[in-house]
Amino acid sequence: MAGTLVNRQHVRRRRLSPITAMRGAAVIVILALWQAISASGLLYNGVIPSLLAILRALVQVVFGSELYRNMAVTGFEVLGALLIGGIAGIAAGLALGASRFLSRAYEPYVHYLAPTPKIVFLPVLMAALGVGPASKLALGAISAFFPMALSIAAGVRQVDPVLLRVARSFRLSRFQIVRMIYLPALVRPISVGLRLAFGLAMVGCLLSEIALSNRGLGYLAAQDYAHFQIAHMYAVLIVVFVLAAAGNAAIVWALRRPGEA
Amino acid sequence: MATRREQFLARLIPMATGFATLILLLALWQGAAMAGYVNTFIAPAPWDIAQSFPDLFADEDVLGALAQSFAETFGAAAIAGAIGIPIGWWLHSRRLAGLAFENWVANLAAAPLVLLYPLFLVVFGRNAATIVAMAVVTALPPIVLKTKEGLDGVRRTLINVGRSLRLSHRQIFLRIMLPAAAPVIGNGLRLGLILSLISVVGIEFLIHFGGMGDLIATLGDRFEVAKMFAAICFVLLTSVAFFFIGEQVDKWLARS
Amino acid sequence: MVRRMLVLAAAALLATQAAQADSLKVAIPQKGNWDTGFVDYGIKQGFFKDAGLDVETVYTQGGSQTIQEAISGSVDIAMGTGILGILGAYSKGAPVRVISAEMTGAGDLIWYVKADSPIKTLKDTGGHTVSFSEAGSSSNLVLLAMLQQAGVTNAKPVSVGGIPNARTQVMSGQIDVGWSGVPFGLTEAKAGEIRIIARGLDSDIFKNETVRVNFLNTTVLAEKKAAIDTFNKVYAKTIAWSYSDPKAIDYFAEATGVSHDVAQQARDEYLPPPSVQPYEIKGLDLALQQAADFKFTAKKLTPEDVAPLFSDMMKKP
Repeated sequence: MAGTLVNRQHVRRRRLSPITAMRGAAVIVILALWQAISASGLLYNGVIPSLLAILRALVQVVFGSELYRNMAVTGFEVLGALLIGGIAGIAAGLALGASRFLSRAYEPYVHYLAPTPKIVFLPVLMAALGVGPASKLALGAISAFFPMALSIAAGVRQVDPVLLRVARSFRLSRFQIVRMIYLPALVRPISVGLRLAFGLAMVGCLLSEIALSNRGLGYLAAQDYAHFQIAHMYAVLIVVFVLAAAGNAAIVWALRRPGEA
Repeated sequence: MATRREQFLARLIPMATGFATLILLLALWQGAAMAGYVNTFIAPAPWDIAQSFPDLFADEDVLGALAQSFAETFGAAAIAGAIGIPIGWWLHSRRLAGLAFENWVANLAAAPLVLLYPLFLVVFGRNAATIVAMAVVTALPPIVLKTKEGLDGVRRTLINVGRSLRLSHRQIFLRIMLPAAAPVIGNGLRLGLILSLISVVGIEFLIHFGGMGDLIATLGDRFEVAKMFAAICFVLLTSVAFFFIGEQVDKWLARS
Repeated sequence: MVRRMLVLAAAALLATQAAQADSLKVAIPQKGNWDTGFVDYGIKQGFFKDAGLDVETVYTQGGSQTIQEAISGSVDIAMGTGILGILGAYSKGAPVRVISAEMTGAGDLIWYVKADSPIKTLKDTGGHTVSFSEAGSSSNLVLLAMLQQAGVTNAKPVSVGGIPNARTQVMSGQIDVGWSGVPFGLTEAKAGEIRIIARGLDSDIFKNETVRVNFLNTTVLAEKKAAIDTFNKVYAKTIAWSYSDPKAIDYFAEATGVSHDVAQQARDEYLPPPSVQPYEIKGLDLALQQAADFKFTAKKLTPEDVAPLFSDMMKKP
């Protein structure tokens, strides 16, 4: 038993190390390429500052107070958007995927509305909800709804019909079928849909902060660009990307199957 | 076995239900606008939007703007597909690469790429290539992730059958894996196309560089709100046609 | 006993509300510019608070976004909005009123080239790309007027968006002449990276035209008249203070990230007091013509047509 435990740990350590090495190598290549382009003068280095300039700006950003209060605002907006848009999207996706009638009646409209650039509805949302975080959250929620609904609907339709027939032959209730057949089968589509929804919610919230706000990470980055403090802007964007990565990792971890690392 | 009439009704009744729901919502919006519950300077009544369509076509170069946006959208989606499907296959076939980089691809979807506009501008210049490039990067994540998901989800039974019939790796991929994964990959391409259109019109809207996004923003700047909504509806209506075609292609892939 | 407590509670609530300051939400485009900075300076100096006003600012990217926010009531006052946009909104029945002028003349605008460019003055821009921000913006109108004034008929005006976009494209060699709003560009000119070839100050036509205004919607005006009047008084006071107290330059430099000297140069050389006078809309006839030319209005309106729009302007004391 102890030997198995040691073996598993050893395997896990061996599995982690090449992944980290691969990621590290990719990061080094990207950074080296950036520095080479910045130093070469091939492109305007006002927009491609050196890594040192970006690092200095990153230190300023991370150890300054401005970042954290703006991060709290954006974080609240994105989480709220994901919660509302995600739950609504799952519910809609389940309904559309499980019912051919509902799918034929309403799924085309979900498709048709999905490509709308939601930013054009910002004035309407601000008129209804004010210029504070609520309107940004609403825009993020609307953005998150569509990939979630479409991904879940497609996932529901791919559930093996044999499993459904077995469930019916065991006279499981609709709720039991959803809980024991659909939801386990939908973990992967939910994960993919949630990650896309998270991305769109984040972009929706950030874009609305750029359009009209007085706080948030999008506002911070937009002000940096307006004042041409490009290194500072990249530092804020690095923080945004790190938050996006953390959010994605949290989703993957929360939806991993038992036994998965 | 359902008769043809029953099959026809099985399609017609849901469609009619969906359409009736839409009409009901529009009627509610019109009523709210007429009763003063909706600020028509922000959200014009549906009838006002409908009436502004002739002026939109008469006064603005709508078709030219649409052609530009759709060319950029489909160009970006095609490039994203050409790049994204091989990357998705690579992440599927190289387990280590999949473990290392799948999350990075997902994280890219959350990246506010519009803030990197100056970087793209410097690299690609002040032309449509900048918009297309930004749309390609936006459309890549769903294509890559869905390709990997589709290939990962191919049932082992099918692959084992292929092996037992002594098919080569290439044959297993082309005759078993790709067709089995096609619906999911198709879903990824559709999501990529959606994100590409959102990205193109959104970037045009924010940076005023031609296309329907620029037209929508300009109409907003001139405070022609009904025409602005008409332009948004026009983008929707034309994208309906393209997505309908996409659905037919999806069905063909699923059947073949 | 209960009734007495309820009455006391209601009285306390009323008293609290009476003691609370009036609050106003103000939308400001292009945060940091001199002419859009006065509200922030007034807040920092406590002028609004002393007058019993609680002012909250939100920042926009300008344009129709600001107009829609004011019309919808999401903000109470919208600052620094292009006069053509307001004329367009008013002509379509939007319930808006202008309460003060914000920028008269084009002193804040400059055009520049890379230091090694062969272009020396605006007269040399024939056949070259010359930038402005958006169609119908003050930079667009001033540029066209200055090209005409310089006798240049074959320059290629191009819309590039904001100041950072212009800078990126000029320094990358994608366009020949960039536009900027001071103080942005002055540091680079001092450092010899760019060369200023034209200034909005030199435009004869725009010397006496109000290009940006502050406005609100009629509902806010009706409901918060007293607060708006107080706001106007404090706004005018802050403008006067900004030209007499050196601290204003500190605020300006901090908001824009430029040095104190550059901020001082921008104010003293490019933005004299008449440029930010709030009392008078100048050159209205020219603005009405431009609004028609750029399709903000369906036809050229007369001053009488738009008189109600300006009927609630703040009065010079």
